[in-house]
Amino acid sequence: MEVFLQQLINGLTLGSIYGLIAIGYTMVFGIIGMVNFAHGDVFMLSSFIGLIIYVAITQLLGLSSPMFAFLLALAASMVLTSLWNWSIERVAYRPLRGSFRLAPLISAIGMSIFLSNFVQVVQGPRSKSINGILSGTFNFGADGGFGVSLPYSSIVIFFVTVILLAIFWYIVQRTPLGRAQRACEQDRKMASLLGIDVDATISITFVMGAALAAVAGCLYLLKYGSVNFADGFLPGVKAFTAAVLGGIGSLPGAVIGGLLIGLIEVFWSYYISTDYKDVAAFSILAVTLIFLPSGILGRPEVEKV
Amino acid sequence: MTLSKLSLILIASSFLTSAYAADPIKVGLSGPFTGGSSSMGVSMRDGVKLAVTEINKAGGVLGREIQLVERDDEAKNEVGVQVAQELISKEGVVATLGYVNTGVALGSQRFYQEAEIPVINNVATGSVVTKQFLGGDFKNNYVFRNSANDTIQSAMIASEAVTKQGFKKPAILADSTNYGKLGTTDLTAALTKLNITPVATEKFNIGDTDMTAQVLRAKEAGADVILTYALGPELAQVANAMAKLGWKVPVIGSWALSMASFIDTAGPNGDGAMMPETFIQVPSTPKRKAFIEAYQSTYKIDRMPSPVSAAQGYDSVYLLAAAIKQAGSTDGPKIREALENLNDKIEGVVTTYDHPFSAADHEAISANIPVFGVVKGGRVVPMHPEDLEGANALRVKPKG
Repeated sequence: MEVFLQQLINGLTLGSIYGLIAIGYTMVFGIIGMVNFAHGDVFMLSSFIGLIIYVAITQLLGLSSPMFAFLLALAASMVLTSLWNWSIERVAYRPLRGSFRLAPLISAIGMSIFLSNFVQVVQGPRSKSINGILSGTFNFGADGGFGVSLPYSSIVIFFVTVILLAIFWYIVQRTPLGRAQRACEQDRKMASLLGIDVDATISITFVMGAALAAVAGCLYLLKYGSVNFADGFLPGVKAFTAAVLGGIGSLPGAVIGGLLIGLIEVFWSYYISTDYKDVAAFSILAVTLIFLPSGILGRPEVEKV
Repeated sequence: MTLSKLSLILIASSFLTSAYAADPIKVGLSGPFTGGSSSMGVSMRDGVKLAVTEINKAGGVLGREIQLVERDDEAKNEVGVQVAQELISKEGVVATLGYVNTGVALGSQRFYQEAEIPVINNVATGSVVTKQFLGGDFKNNYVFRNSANDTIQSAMIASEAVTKQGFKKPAILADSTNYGKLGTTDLTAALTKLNITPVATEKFNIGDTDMTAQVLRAKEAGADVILTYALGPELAQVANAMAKLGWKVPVIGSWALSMASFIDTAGPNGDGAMMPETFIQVPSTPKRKAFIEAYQSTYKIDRMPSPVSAAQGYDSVYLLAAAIKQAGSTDGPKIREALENLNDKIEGVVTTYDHPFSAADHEAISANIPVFGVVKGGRVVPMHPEDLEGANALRVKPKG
């Protein structure tokens, strides 16, 4: 029972991070119908930006409160990562928008390789690390016996995810900006005829996706304390799986998908085998695509005649 | 271009070449300079370069200077094979130093064996590394090593945990590379000799960041000590996972626990980890003092990322240089023969090498040389300071 509870905590924490990244995938796919394969690397980049700013604040400015420094780094990372993703869209995707369907996809893969190599060259190949931002834990259960521990960082990660999901869901469902986004999603040409600035709306979508990736990147740092230039790939692909599982295009779906993938991965690695935990995640992708192509919360696409 | 200008260039270029009358001796260097094992690879390279610079300054070997041809094998077996083929056929190296990763060494060495070019492993520790071409159909073995192999390390780990510290329920945590797998085998064998069976044996992949499942299983099995065979970044995540689960048991493992990538990422969670070390960054002999100072001033760094790799890298160059000098030739079989019968005593950083190799024994480091180090405040310090004091400081391989 304790193990089950412990793994539940671990799975929800891991799943929250996947969910935040998955929102970026799902929003971009929803609006331009493209899988942004560079999104995982944007996540990794944001983690590096957060780390650099955190180190700069604590070492150079000598700020003593790690949590406050972390929040500053998080805010700065959200802004800078958004700028990056805005530029990526401007440089690599927008010129290809009228082109054949595969062109932006290939461009995204190229961007993904560029980003990870860029970080490798600029920051070096080794893992960069910080520690002690938020290291405490609540412990339940008997002393010396088998207890359950709930790290403070897990609580922060889970609630930040839920709150951000609520905020972004509100933006998409209830604000004029969200309406414009949904309009572009349904019919871009019609939306522009009705006076919606399609380019700007798409840019804002990329900015929002990047801001969430930056939150995920900084929370990843909070959880694991280190980041490496290659760390974007696997979480990126798993988040993509989460977006598909939840129903691509749906925000709550992305987070639910993320949590499910996190839980499955964690329980699989405890009860079955740690060797094949990635296989578990990707088998789910295959099974979902075959039996539930529109995902858990996705609406089946209806072709209107 | 006028004729006078052309002749000027010709004269100038002839001066340039006359500075190095003879061709340089090309020595290959293969190691992971990127990826998770790069702190070992880069330290090893820096140690090697330091020694090469010193030797060249003193006039080189056989009146020729040593030229390093370095290649990044990325800790990947297939890249290592490519590097080996390139170094042998395109660059024509006379010998190769390096190999941090046991798997890469095992995959690449056969090309050197076939080409009769000696390899000195200065970091890789897998027990089979030097035995791949020993005996059987092989007349001569071209693979040498000057690092403490896993048989030595695992025996030290097991006896420290069981005999000295009295733990009875060890759990083994290892990565799923050749290094971790072979290490697990050695460690299990060493424990069996002490009549102990590990309560759990857990694996993880390179690049994994979440070790909670493995640590949880070890915890549930009632382990009272964690024995590790893995590399820095993953080990750090093991230590972090233990902290997150609020579980405190000692960690004893292979020397990779001294990697900067472990110490930095694990931070305070890594304190107290124990590992066998051939070299700890402590100026316990004049040679070690000079080496540490030269390293620090050359690379503008206070703490070496991996002191063991740096020291062994440095020593491997001197072993090779001595062999080439004794052989009086850069011919592969002659260098091998000289390595097996080195007459000069070589004062290295790790130890003083007095006939370190023989035809049957290609291991320069014996079980009495490594001492236990412990992570303390972001550095590795000797666990028992008396191990590196007075007569104990210099430990030499027994003759025999």
